[in-house]
Amino acid sequence: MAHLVIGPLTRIFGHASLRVEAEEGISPRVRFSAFGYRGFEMMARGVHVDNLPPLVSRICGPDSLFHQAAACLVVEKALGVEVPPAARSMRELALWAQFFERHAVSLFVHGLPDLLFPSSDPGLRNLVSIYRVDEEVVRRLLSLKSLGTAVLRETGGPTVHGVNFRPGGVVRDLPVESRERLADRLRSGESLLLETARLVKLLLRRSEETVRRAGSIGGSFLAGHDPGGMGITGGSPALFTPGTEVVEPRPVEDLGERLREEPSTSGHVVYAGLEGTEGLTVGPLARVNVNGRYGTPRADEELSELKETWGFPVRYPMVAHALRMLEMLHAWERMLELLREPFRGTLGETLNPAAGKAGVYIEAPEGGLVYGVELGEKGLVEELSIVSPLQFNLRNLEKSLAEAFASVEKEGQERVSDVLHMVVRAYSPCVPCGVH
Amino acid sequence: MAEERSILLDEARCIGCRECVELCPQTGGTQFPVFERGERVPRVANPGSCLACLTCVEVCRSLALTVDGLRRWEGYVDPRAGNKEAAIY
Amino acid sequence: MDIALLSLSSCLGCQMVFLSLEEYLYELIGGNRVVYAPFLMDKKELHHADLALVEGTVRNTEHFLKAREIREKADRVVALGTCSCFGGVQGLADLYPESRLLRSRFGDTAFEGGPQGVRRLLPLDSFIRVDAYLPGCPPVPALLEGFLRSAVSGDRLSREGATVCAECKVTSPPLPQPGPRRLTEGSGEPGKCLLDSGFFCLGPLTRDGCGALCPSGMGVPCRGCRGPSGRVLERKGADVEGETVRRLARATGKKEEEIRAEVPDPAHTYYFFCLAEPLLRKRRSGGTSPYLHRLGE
Ligand code: SF4
Ligand code: SF4
Ligand code: SF4
Ligand code: SF4
Ligand code: SF4
Repeated sequence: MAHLVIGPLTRIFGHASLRVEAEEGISPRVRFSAFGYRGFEMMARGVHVDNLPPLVSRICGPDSLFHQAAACLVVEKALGVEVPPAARSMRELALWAQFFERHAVSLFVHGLPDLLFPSSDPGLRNLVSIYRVDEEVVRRLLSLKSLGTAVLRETGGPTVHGVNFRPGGVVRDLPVESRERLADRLRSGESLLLETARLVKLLLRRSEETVRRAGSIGGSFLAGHDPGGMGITGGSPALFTPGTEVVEPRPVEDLGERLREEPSTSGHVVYAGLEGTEGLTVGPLARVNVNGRYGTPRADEELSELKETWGFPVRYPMVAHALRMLEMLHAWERMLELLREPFRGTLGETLNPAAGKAGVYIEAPEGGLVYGVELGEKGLVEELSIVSPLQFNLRNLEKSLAEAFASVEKEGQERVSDVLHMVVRAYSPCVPCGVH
Repeated sequence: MAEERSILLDEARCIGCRECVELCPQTGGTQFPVFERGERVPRVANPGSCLACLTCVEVCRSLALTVDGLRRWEGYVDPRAGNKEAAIY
Repeated sequence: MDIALLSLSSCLGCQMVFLSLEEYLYELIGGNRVVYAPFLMDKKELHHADLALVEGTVRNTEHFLKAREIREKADRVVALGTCSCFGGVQGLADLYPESRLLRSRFGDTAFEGGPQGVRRLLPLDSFIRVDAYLPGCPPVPALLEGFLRSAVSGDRLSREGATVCAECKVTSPPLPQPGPRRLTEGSGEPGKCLLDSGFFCLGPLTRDGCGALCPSGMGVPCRGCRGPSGRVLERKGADVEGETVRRLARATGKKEEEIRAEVPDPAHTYYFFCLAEPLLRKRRSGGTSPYLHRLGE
């Protein structure tokens, strides 16, 4: 079998390579190969729940708060603790900030340069090279990213692996002055944000050929069912299968029973799927397809235009770039709303050690993150299980890669590598989360 | 008579834990204690009683004490050392 | 100056801090050449770098080969972040043999052409020579900027160390205090020393440089992300666990045994970021070897 190895992949979150298996007469197969399992589930055994969030945080820096939040939520659910509203809002604010920041990096640092300069040498399509020819563009893009970073700094201390979340609540509230300062800062980015959204929209339309080449995805979409919140603070997911026109709620317990994991022989990312469901997708496409709207005015306005251009339900993986931009808009709107809320009252509940068992589902930037935990008699972690977005998306990612490969196969190895990289970046897989 | 010792207490660093006061052999139950409890931070009352045993220097978590110019070692720059402790930023 | 930035086994958090350098980032990329940085750009190969910053640690043969290649091609190699300097949080994998970890996750799956795992987790300098260390999980932007400024201007890549407490703006509360306790039981009084309030704060044993971000800024105990202080690394008698227990006993008015009895997860509580650091292993008291079960395979 003819093998072509593309990698290590660049401008993505983490280390991976592609192995293309192509032979005359049979349809090509592309495998996404990433090694580096670190053993977080085992490391969590026997820990006091207070040590769990900082531990799982180190699975992934760019998504650190989502792991922390999932860890907190699953422990709270296992112990039957209700977190006070002030703590929930505080967490949500920090999560939107990281959501915004992660999408900004995924778009501006990884994905966008391909759409900006599709015909230049791939080696030059990056912020460092762009800076040499146009300082202003790079400054503007990164200044948008820094809006998220600023909120992260004030709400969590360190901007990566923030320290404000703890099982039972949060440690610190945000004083009124900081709220006002942050709101001003966010508002100061408004026109730039809208302008950038327009740019992404145009670039994507200009790259229609590439968008179509990366194919479309079939199967079902799984996302947090929560119009207006997108499920980033936890909740019940729902399944949407285009053609059926129904959004089926899938309570976490049900999800837990149907969740199937199957190791891949080409890497440490374990395939995850739901029994009885073909080709599952999570992430920006799934969120919009399941919920149909974002729930904030700016983002929804842009969304209706996007639906006209690309159709609805959205099936093109490359359109995820545009959806990320809309989600940034939504995150920005939500952050402003949350900053206006006066958070008063208690910030946390005292946890009493006890046995318990629970599972939770939350929306991380690239899709569903599932945590399951079993606490022993003394309230220590006995078992932890983690299923991350890349695990759900792996099959579809490989399918899209195979389709894209088939369409450029004849155009030479460089072109193949270039197009496959673009497909990977459209999925924006998080490899550290995927292997964990 | 021995020359008076110099005991410097960096008030900006000191958090007032008073471990130095508790552990100084020349403070508890002596007539001329080196340290007094003080207000926010301990007060150096009788430096003359100090034996320069460096117990206080060693125990101070915030490196606030210097006795006769001696401070606690926490990995200062030593270009000749070439060891891990000296190459950390 | 030609700069390379790359990661081995890591969470990418340290590289994210590069993107938070704000004005200095532009100075850095405007005045130097970034010759290799897979996270940021599409350059498949490194030819030569004056300075290579390596995030993360060696987890398998692929990482090892990469580390060796970098050592050959770079004049100065910097261990970036606590994973790289001391093994970091992922060093907790040393609690179990690698084969057990892999079995627990993948069963008997036979991987096609994958790299071999390492026998145990170690900091980068156990595999290649390292010229300078910049710990922090991740290092805060100001620290990274200070470091890069020195590196680019050819200055020494070390700074005089202190402890986190030296930067901490708290005062000690009246003793005794309740505890030992954790944040899951509620926060402490703002502005008061967390250790003396009965929390597991590692400030006294941790290297300074972050501005005591967690205790001073957030009211959260320091977990030691900047790694062991110079004294803890160098002095064989320094005992992270013992010194913390002693201070907590003092703060709470309890016996040391009572404190120890309330810590079911000592490896995570005291050596969260440095379990894999060889300098802490063999000590009469406070050594990490009782927790390392990796070599019992
Ligand atoms: S030991 Fe240090 S911090 Fe504590 S009171 Fe004495 S000088 Fe201050
Ligand atoms: S050096 Fe010894 S005698 Fe002098 S003040 Fe410190 S503890 Fe007391
Ligand atoms: S040191 Fe911390 S932030 Fe840096 S790569 Fe390691 S876990 Fe991530
Ligand atoms: S709170 Fe922690 S870091 Fe601050 S002085 Fe107390 S022990 Fe040191
Ligand atoms: S206070 Fe401790 S845990 Fe927090 S950033 Fe500083 S060294 Fe790291």
